[in-house]
Amino acid sequence: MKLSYNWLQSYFENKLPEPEKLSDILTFSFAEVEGLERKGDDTIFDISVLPDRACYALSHRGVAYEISASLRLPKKDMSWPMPETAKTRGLSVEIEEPGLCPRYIARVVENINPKQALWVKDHLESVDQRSINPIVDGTNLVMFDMGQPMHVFDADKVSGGIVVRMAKEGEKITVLSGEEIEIDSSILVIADNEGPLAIAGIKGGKKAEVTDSTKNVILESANFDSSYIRKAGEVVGIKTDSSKRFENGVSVESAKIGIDNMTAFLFEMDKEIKVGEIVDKHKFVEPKPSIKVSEKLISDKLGSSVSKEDIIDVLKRLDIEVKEENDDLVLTVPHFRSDLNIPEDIVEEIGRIIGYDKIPESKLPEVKDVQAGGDFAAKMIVRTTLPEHGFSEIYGYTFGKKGDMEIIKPLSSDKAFLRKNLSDEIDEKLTFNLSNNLFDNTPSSLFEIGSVFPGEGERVHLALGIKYKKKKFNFGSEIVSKALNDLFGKLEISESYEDLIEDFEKGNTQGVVVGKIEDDVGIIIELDFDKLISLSESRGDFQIPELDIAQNKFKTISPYPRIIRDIAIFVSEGTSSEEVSNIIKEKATELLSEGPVLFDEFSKDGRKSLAFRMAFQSEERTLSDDEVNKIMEEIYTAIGKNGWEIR
Amino acid sequence: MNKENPRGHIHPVTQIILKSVSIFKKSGFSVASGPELEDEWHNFDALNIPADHPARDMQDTFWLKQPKNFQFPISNFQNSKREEGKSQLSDTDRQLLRTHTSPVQIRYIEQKLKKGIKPPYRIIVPGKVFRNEATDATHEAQFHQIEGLYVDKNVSMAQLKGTLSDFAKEFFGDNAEIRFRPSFFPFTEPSVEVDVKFRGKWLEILGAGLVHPNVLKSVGLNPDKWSGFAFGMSVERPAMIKWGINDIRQFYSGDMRFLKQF
Repeated sequence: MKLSYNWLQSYFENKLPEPEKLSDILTFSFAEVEGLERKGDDTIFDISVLPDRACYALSHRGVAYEISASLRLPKKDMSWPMPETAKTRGLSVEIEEPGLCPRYIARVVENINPKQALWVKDHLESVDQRSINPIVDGTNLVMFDMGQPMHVFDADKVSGGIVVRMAKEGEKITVLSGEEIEIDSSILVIADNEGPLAIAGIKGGKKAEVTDSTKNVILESANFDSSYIRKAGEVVGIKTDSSKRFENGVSVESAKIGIDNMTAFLFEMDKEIKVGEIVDKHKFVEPKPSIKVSEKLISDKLGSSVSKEDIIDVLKRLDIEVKEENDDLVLTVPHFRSDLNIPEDIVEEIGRIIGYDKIPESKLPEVKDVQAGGDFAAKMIVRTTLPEHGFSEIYGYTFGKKGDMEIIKPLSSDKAFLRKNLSDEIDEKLTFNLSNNLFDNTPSSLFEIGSVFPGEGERVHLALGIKYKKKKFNFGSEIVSKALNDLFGKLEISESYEDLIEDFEKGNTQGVVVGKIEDDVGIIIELDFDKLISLSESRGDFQIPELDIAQNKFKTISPYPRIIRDIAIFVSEGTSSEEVSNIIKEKATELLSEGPVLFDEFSKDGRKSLAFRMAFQSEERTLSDDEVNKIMEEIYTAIGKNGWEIR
Repeated sequence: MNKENPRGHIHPVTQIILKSVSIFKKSGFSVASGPELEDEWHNFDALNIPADHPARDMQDTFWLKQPKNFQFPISNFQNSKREEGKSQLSDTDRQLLRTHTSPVQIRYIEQKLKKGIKPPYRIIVPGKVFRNEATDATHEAQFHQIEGLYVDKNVSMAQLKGTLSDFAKEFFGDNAEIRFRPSFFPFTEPSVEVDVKFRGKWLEILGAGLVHPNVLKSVGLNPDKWSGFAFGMSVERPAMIKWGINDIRQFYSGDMRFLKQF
């Protein structure tokens, strides 16, 4: 919500703190100020008003109320000269649906000579609103000022009285934006004798639109049920500044203040207007029950002792009436605070206004027996064990192209279903990662443990896979077997991987193994993890493994290609490969992205041969061979200086 | 050539979860979990987020088409519109991908009460959650949260502050400070946003507050007798801060060039 600093200032005699300071004060006592923007001699705040406070704070008056409470600044009395009422044309209002429209106030104003005032245009533009015409601008001004959405009809285009009723099947309305909308009997409309004039609380219609030639109007200041407006807004597919405020629960009392402010606005614009009597139709609204709190309750909940005097002080700053009854404080909240209903709501008011920084830190009572880790620990044992066997963990996407469960509004058509297995994505990622390996004989090996959604609902699966570039390097099934048997041991499962696979290959589709993909270059195994754990003899009595978290700084992955180089060196028998690789690293510059990795070592004639592979890559550009050749030359020179020999 | 596979890597999300859990374990919290495929009641209604309340806009939801023969286990405490023996799904049984880990608060308390176990409860809930919003470097449709819940007699904001301050110090280092700012969550009252000061900057890390009495009521706990605090944080955000990761989508890339750095 955009709010103007100057507009807020108009509520106070005293000078407000500078915008940056005020922004901090609001953030810590009320709602987050997400942005501050200079605009001419004004500063515009972008305040994130959350749903609880949206009933009163989507307006300058609401935020001025907060400033007044936080800073103990008295607000100016906001009343303007009102015209005498006069005889005008008649006006009848009938509410057929008092449940959805608890109050409807209307008034005829005639003989208006609209005049554009610069201050109005400035005020609206400061909060990103476009000026439309002097009368309509008034309704917007009132809404952004005090939060009551208003509407105004051209009285000469209204035939007969105003009726608030459900739309009739097949009824249509052309809204102000020119769009024709079909409405059904779930939609509340403001109608005259001929048909709908507006979609109640949401959008006005073209028929009685106020234009530059409008002289006579009917003002509307009404109240509509919040959850109805929300539903209706979805049905007709329209959200407006007006519907947004009604959705959040504008108070019934606001309607009267709104129409008075609008009348005063028109009177200021044109002293010659003829203002009719107010027609105020409303159902009986129960007064809000009072809220009972005590010093003890507030102090207990905050965990900080707050005196009765301090509580009463905060409440009064928030215009909450306080009556003392023995130890209790009986509170009557102002009409616009429909968010305050239970004692806990008051705890929040006290906490935020005295400042959460005043709340001390305290400990929880000691407990002796913390439960064992259960399922979580078992999953963590998987996650720490499989990497010991070379498998790296991935977290895959729950969404996929196909499956049994379909999403109603997916992000894209290839993410329209919930995945049925983990293996498909493991397979894809294995292939992808192989292309980035430095050596043909090193595999890509991955695992995931996560939820999948085959027909019958949600299951937790574990899948692991390994893939090589060439068949001759493939030791995949041995590595998988070793990894899983080690894991089963840690999970206290006496069955072996071979037992479970045999069962699967015999055709048991309800067993622990639920999938196996194997070819010349790799293997992927998928297990039903819940079933696997049920084989464990430990009955969930696992301990959560300890882990030292990685401390390095993350290095961005370069989108540019890498260049791979090998180097083979003869050194004396006593020279370690680390010595050599340190020299290489020293000279390889920051363009070295991987390695040097020792991949060959043999002794011959009292000398040792070492072969390293490394990769060069820039984060900003594609490297040229020449560049890398120059680096290699530097490395060769350094190797020579150490008395070693390039093979 | 050789059958040895060089050491693999533990995913950064797992590392953050494991580290966080081990810190909260020291304060007596044990781990609880729940399904990713949730029903509307556990994800919203029981958490004081009624249908047609603007609070639902805070979380864009992935709703699922209803399969023909799917039946959700219905909670004992659920005042569902469903009649006995009626197999049709009522409005509150609609399926969705959970938008937060908070429904596990409800499921955990239900299970405990069913077994006759009254509070105190202390749980920590790591898990995957889903939001139906466009993805970019800072938004993903799937991410992880860690939820905490403490239910006991006389639970206070000061205890919440102490617990989270201890966590921040262990997680980010001894100098880490925390601060509370007013906020709103339908399932807590009061509600606060919690910032942590890390490397000289204040960062928004957690949402927290005292458990709303309506949440306690919805699981059958008397709010005059019991109270609680709850908090939730995303896993990826502190991970991105801790390691300097610039794009949240990398967590789900399955790219070894990312994974091998951890």
